[in-house]
Amino acid sequence: MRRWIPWLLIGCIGVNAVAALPEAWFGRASAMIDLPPGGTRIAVGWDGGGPAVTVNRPVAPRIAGVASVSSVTPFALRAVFVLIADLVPFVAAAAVGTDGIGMVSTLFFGPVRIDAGRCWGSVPNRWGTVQLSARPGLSLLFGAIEHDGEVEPFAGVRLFPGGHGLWEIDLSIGREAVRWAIAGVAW
Amino acid sequence: MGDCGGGVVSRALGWICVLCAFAMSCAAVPVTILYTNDIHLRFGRLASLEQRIAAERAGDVLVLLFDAGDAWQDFRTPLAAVWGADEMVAWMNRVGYDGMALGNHDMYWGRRRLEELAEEAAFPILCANLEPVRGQVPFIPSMRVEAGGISVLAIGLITEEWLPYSAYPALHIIPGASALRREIDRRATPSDLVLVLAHLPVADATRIASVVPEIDVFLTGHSHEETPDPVSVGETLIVQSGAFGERLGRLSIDVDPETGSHRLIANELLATEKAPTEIGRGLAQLLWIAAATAAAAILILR
Repeated sequence: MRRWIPWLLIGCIGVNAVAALPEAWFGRASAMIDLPPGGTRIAVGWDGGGPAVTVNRPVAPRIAGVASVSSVTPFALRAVFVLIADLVPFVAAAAVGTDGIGMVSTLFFGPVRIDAGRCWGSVPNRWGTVQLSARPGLSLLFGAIEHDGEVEPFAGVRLFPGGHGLWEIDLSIGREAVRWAIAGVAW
Repeated sequence: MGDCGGGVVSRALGWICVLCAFAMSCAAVPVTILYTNDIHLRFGRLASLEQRIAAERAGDVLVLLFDAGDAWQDFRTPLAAVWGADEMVAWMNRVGYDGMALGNHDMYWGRRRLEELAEEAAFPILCANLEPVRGQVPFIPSMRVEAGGISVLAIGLITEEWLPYSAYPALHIIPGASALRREIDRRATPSDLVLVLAHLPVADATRIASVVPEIDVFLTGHSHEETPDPVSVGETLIVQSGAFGERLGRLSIDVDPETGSHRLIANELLATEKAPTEIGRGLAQLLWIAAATAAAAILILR
């Protein structure tokens, strides 16, 4: 699995365009760090305006690092800190990055989770998603993102061909664009 | 004369049968299996359950105590749900559970919190059909209990329904029958009794028992069914005690360590009493959660 990481990183550097919060489209912007320690999640896709790549890696039980390239921000690095983890089902995290600051909160009800967040910075936006993950190979995602006063609702699906979350194909359809991503976790 | 000889032979055969039966009953070990499932943080029933369990242990029969999952969480009781999991684990430690199946609700705390709860538990959390693709998990597929001269293999299973898959990306679910087969084959030493702690409905357990006949007893859960009479599939007994701690299941069997066979003596669902519970403890925590959620909502929406 490690062999494709350099190619992805090369691809990442070669991409010029980026999205405001690509993780939102991929259903991954969550206040919960659910990747096991040592895993690096890499998502490559199309955010509607151009190619997008997001690399996400937990570096401590409550801290994750995120690097992203999208059609809006050429390159962004963020550190996500889980601030509230002991009030389950409510979890909250703050993000500090080169593209601004942000916050994300999650209400985790098991197979149903609600994630909502806001980003202040070069591309301010806010978004919310409801995700239903009741089957091993499939999650459904419904949400909306607001940017420049425009609200775009979208619906998406996350497919897990291996029956687990280490490989996935995401597709979301919004009013303005169809977005997709292929994501995998490497150790 | 011939008739007389035949009578002697048949009497002798009769005595041989009686002696064989006596010898078998001497070899058999009586075992009482106490079982709960889907307690879902119903604290009002715990004192009564504890009394029942203590009364069963007062005898000289080997008593095993297991739970078939969904003990630690329930959104229908928000006041208990926000603080109750630690209390529930502490109670289960105190009354001396031998093992517990992982239930889907027990996973609704998220990976980090589940790890903490499993760490607090003095008994193993069992689940054989969720396997880690990578990393460590806070549960084990099976355990062995050596007590009263018999060896008991307990294997855990979880339902595929309503699992929070997105929060556990490194877990992979496999069919229950395959997981059991693998676990039974993996254990080189034969067991006198094979128990499955299954957070599965009785119908699912019935299907699995029909293809894995080595299972002696299925303690099930998830569907909140009551089985005053065990469901039998071949030699397998399938039981469930309802939900919310309203009943303590008591399955009495004789286990023959020589042959590995078992014989059902009785199965009862013992009613428990509900005591008033103090709900004030959860109120402060619930208010904190509400305040934090409201603050986040204001921050995002304004």
